[in-house]
Amino acid sequence: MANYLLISSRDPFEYRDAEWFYDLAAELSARHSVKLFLVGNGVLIGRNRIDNGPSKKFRRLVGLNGNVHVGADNFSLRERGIDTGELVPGITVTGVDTLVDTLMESTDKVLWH
Amino acid sequence: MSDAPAIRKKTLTVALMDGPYVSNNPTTAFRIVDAALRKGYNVNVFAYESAVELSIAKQQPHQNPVKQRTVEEADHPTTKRLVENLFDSSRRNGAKLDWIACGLCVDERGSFDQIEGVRRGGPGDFLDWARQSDQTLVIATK
Repeated sequence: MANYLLISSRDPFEYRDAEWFYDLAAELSARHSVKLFLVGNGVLIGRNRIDNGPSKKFRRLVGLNGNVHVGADNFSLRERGIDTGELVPGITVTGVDTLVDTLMESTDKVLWH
Repeated sequence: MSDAPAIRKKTLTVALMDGPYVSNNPTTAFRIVDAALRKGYNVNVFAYESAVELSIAKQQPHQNPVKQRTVEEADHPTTKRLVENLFDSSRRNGAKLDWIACGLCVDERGSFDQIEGVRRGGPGDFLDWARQSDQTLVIATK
């Protein structure tokens, strides 16, 4: 079992391939530990009130019985005026300091999208 | 002289491809590099394609005519200043920052005049770094 860190920086409303990254996270989580870090416009999918194809896929990912740990970058959330209370339950608000700790101390493979 | 064994610093290598003012990626990369340096990690940055323009020495801050602010009042952060700040951070934190601008990308863009600390290299340097580093993060362009 490997420790994967997936960094999602794209808004699925702008880039349809962003949702493939959620598929990748879900499939990897069947055999590996997966952390998904939302940053930049990647945090927009974390809003609880949106409802479309990518958001349904994303919510399933957050609800995968803890197999995928999803974190959202606090700086990116603040830049976009998104309060913690607006996020899909299960998302952890975190930052790049924690990201670097994860990257350097407990990640076997990192992928940026 | 201390008998304590020297602790090897871990090294993070980052490949960046986006130039200034195009996407969030350089800002996020700068934040990651800054956090890594503050934590004492050594960092290598391989600036590829338009990312070589992040560190052009002749970048100048500008005034804001819409809001009628002077250069000083606008305090516009150029990307070269942000890169310079990262070099300052590396010195403050006792960490090494090595920054390579891809030579062919520099030639194509005429971005020869780079800030102090940035050196010329090529993809082979990135490969060497990736082999030698504890972690490699590739921030691909769109």
